[in-house]
Amino acid sequence: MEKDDIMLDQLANKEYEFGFVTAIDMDISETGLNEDTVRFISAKKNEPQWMLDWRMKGYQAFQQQEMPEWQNFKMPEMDFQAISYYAAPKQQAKYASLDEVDPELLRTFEKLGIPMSEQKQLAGVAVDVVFDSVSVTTTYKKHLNELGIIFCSISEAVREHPELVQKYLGSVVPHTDNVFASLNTAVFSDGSFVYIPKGVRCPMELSTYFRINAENTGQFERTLIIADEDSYVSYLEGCTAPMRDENQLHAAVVELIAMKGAEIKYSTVQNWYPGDKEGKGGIFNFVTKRGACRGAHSKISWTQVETGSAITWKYPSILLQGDYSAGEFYSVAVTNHMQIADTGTKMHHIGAHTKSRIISKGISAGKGQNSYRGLVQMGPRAAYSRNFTQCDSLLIGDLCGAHTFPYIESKNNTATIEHEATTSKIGEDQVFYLNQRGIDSEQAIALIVNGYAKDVLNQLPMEFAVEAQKLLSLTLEGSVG
Amino acid sequence: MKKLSKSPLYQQLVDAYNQRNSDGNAAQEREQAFTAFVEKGFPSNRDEDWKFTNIAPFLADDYSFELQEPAAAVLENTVQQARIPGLDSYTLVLVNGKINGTLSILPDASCFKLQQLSEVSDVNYFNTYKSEHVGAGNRMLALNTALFNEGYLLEVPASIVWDKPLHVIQLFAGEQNLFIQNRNVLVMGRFSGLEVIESVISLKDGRKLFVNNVTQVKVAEQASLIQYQIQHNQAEDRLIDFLEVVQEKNSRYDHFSFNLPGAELIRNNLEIVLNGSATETHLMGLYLVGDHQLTDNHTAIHHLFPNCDSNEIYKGVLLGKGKAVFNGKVFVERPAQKTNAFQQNNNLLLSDKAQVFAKPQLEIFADDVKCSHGCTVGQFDPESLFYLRSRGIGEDSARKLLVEAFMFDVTQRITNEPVKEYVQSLIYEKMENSFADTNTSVYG
Repeated sequence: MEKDDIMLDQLANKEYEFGFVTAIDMDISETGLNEDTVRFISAKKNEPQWMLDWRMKGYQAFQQQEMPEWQNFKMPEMDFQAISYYAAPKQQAKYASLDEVDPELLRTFEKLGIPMSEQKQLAGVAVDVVFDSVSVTTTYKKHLNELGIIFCSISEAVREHPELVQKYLGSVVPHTDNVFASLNTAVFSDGSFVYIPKGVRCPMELSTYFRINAENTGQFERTLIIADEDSYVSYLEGCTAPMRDENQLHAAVVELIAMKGAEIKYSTVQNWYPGDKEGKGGIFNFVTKRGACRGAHSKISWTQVETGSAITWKYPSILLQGDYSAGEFYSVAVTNHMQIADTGTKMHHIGAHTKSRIISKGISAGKGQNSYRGLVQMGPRAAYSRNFTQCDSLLIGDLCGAHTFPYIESKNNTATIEHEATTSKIGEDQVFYLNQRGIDSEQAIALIVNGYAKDVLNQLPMEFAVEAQKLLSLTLEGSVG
Repeated sequence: MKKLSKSPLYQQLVDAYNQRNSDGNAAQEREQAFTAFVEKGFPSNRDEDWKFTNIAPFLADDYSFELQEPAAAVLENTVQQARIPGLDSYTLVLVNGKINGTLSILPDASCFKLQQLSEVSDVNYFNTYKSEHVGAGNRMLALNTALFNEGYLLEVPASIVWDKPLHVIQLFAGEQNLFIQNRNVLVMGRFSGLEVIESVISLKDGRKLFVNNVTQVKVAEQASLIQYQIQHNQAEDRLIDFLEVVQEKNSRYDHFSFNLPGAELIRNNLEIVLNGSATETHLMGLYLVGDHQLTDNHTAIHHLFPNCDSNEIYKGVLLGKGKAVFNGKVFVERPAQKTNAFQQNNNLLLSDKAQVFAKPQLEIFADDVKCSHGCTVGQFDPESLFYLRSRGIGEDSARKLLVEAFMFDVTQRITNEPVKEYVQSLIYEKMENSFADTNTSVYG
């Protein structure tokens, strides 16, 4: 028991390793939110009138909405006027090549382990880096251009490809969707834009790295991915932030659109600053992610590993509109200390013969609270559709909690829904078995947890899988159940 | 909600409360409950617990609170029909909430204590067992607390085990559409044992009946209670039932809920509080949902102490334009280590117009527990059907067989043979005509 306590102590005292601040000249807007803020951001980014109009619509919707009350945690008071809605590295001219980027910035990304240099061919990942609110650089652009793939920041897309942006932006997550989506619509600063043309299989993983650096800022990025007919793309997203005592808000919107026969694979390793062990500081991660399988035989797959943030609140959803379309959701959510995760997915089966699969693994340690909240909905037209859901929870220590709130709705009698959930702790016999074979308790736990989360980790692209496994083992180090 | 407040029934209830006679000791509780109800009115779709069950259309009718006792001959005849064939039992008959001595058959007076709830001066009887975990925010419960007028209080003294089951027949009758608020209390003493079968019957010639019923049960240490709830009602009946059970240590409680086609609206709230260690709880439900029927089962089990087992199986078959709602909550609080909680909900949609809304919900704060739930929604397995047909069994019989097999998980647990046969015969009778129009193409 004593040994457990020591190990739990170590675990509790583990520091957030990405908590450094980069000393870089920042261009930060005044705090506060009003119509002028929206105009300011729009002007800063040289946006056309239609974009400003759309932002205004979002701002009006935001003002009419109330904060939701259905969540399973106490909603922190949020002062939207105390946040600065725009922060960017100052020397934000156009970079012709990486050499011109502020070396301090490059060092930051080196610390984060992101391959920024185009010479690192081996890494084989095209990265779009969003530092606070602005997309800093996009690598491998030329190579992708040859295939007709557009991979750039969303502000660039607004300038260069307005027809695509205008057609698809807000078509999956409308500006009235929820209070945070409306806020994002009004003030989103940057984000990534991907367009894969017909029949093209994107030859490499596309990746965006988000980082909040400045104090009292919120990060509101917007990602839009369009996969045209019979194309394929795998997209990775990672995020970190410095340690600060105040809570910072991250309210992003991600929209995915898959046309006939297209496939989008979206993976996230979320490691925002979770706050210290008393629950001070940390990021509020309130994100709206939704994909639409517009065409027949299209497929969208969400994979997420959630280890950071003080509060995570996100439900990557899929609208299965095309017949024979498929949706997948794989999630590992770890909560430690005072962290709260309320996450899950929504599968709206609209077309016939649609399929979805949900695998959610929650791990609670310390005083963490982990909730799975999901919706599986079979519409009247969703004939012969299928869903399989499995949500498991693992409890480590007796101060944490695990909750499941699955909503299952069927309006079609040929549709089949299966849902199962279990909650348990790491068996002493399992640990004992491994001890017997010379594996110490700590490693045994890591092994068991990784085994427990394997179904999900297997879905991650190689580069991420390694990082995610490491993160999991680190987060849960020493917590013998 | 604002619209509801203006419905005539709401005003009627407010008037009834203001014109009531003295409440005696219960004044304070009633006042509190009434305030809670008045503030927000009837529950609506905006309340999470009533999201899929809209009671507004059922409240729109003109209701009266005037009850009328039917003629003795009619009464006797009705009670006779309500009896379960082959069941050797005691009978407790209540007419409009009043105990009917002539029609009731009860054991030796030493085996029980029976009182009319309105004559119980000790307010604690309907308050002591009210747990802090239960019913917060349930405005139908609050309404009942504020305005219930009749019901029974049955106590089984310590160490008394009844030799026969008790069939409780509640009869409601009136000249107009009725809105009834009834309340019953059942107290099981230490080491006592009882099996109760409950039926609610209305005598009303096509008029409408809205019953807002509350039952409070306490199962003391080492006691055992089996409760069968058979909801086999007429078309214009609307039933809202709230059952609260508090179990003390080492007690056992079994609940069987059979919801049959008939009543337009069935809403059951079942709240179990495990207020002691090493208890055992079994909740079994079968809902056969008929055309245009709305059947809603909300159950909650609160594990507060260690070493408790709970087991819940709810199975539903939906016909026509039936709509079923299932919400099963399991709460495991921090001290409740070594809890075993199992929950299963299966739904069989036999019609393409039927709808199911299920929400199995687990909230767990203890780490050394085994909790699981499973939920399925689907159709007949075409292969099973094909297998049976390839062996010369006609399609209708094959479907019947498969439904029987589907329900077996629950029916096999009914220990009382006559009750089991009665329920099964009711189910088959109700399904008899419904197969004809379900020959939709499973092979499509």
